[in-house]
Amino acid sequence: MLLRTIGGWAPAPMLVTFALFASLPFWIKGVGLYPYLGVEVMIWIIYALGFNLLLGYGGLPSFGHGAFFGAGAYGFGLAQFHLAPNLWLCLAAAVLAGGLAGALVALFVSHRRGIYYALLTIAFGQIFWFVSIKWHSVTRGEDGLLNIKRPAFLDDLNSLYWFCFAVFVLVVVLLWRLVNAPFGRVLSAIRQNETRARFVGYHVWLYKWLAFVISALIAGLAGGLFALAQQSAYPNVMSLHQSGFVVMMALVGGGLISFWGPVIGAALFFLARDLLGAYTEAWLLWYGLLFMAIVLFKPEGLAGLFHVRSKPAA
Amino acid sequence: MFEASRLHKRFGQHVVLEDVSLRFEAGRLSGIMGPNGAGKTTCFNLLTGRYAPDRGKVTFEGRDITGLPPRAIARLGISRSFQVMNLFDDYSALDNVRVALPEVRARGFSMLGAFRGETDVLARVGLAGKEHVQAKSLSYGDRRALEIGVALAARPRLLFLDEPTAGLGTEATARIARLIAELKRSITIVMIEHNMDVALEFAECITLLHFGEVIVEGTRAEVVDNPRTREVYLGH
Repeated sequence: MLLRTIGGWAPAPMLVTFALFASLPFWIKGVGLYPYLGVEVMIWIIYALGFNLLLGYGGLPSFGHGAFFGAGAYGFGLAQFHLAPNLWLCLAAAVLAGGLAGALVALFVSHRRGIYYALLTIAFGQIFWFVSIKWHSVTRGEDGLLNIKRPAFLDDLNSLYWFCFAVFVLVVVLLWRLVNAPFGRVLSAIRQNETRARFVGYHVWLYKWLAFVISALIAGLAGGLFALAQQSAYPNVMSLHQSGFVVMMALVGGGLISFWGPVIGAALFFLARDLLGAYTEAWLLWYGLLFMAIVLFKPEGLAGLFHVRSKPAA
Repeated sequence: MFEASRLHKRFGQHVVLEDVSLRFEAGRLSGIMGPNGAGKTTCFNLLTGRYAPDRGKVTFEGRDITGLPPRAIARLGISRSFQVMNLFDDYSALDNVRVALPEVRARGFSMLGAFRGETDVLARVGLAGKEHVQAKSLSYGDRRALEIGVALAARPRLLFLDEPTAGLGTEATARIARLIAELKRSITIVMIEHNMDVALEFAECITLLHFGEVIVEGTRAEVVDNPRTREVYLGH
């Protein structure tokens, strides 16, 4: 019974993931990499897992999700500059900024599916990106918000790493519960058959709206952590190609069939950036080819190689 | 129990239902029959909220439900199965019926709770032992049974069955027929059925639709003896 309860909250892949990141500061330099990479990967995993709630579980292709990541980053910076330099307040502002932006966009897209949904999210993403460049008095234009300060207790990389790890653990555990709770299972049922879900009594629009808002809240949190880590927030994180990265992470990793797909995808993306990037500036070309190969030959993503049975739907 | 009066529906210039009135009594199995294109499924779709009628009124236990969305109608205790299979294909048979359970639906927004719910529906529809088989991996006959199982899991007071034996062979049809015989003892059922043998065996009262209009209505014997029934089905 105890094992079942633990398994329900923390299955084996989760424990392996946590063990990997908990031990990362002790071995990463030994393999020629650096601890900050771990911070980046954890932030993007948080972002990608939240994104995959929509894509993998809801079947909702949001291709402008960078808007909410960016809203979180700007929310963090603006709260620090204009409200108070308090970490928790700034993180709350980041989450709120992502969530509010998501709630607004979701009002317009949640009655759509497929290509129309994708196009609308791209359009909204572009609007946010454009506003972040043009609303100079607030966002400081293309330069973005610079000199975002970290609190004293997070000033060294080691502390920052463990803080991000704590948030990472919390988000992964909560998201895992969420996708296996009635909400996640109903969302997945809606992805499989929206008509039937309506006829067994579910308010499909509301589930889709709520899934978008939760996903945007998490993107906002990831954006806030990003601003904290990078000590800046700039329009580029809202751009279409940055939005595309999270889609690629989810798909390459296998987010369509596994909760853990985005974890694999985000880790692979940053490893490709640093390892391939050491040899060629055109590393994205090779990563793009990998993406194409996966779409063509292993459309379920890398998680499919491991025969991961923790399907979003099952 | 359930009444529809003077329903009218058109798609573009094409009138699909014209002035159709129906009445289903509690505790009975009512049949809606008619040849292809008679408007049977459109009629079901109007009664269960998929489409709103252009004119007319639908009431359930005295309450006006005209134009209510399917989810609202489902929550009143009206459930339906589909002629074209509508299952949650990636889910196991058990999860298909679980999603439809009223207690799971009531906790649908729970974000940390467990997704569980006990039900004997799968045993009732003959899928005992196949609880953990994915819906898409079930045989056609089993999928037909699951289609009814999902509708039943909602514990309806009124069950609409849209051609439950469509595409089935003799043996599988007999299995569904046995299931309907068992269900009609406890649930009010309205059934569209193409298979005359099944429809005439179970339906206590029958409405015959033709080109979107009710042309014959009555008990089994009355409908069978009516010359218009023979005209529609046999052409003379």
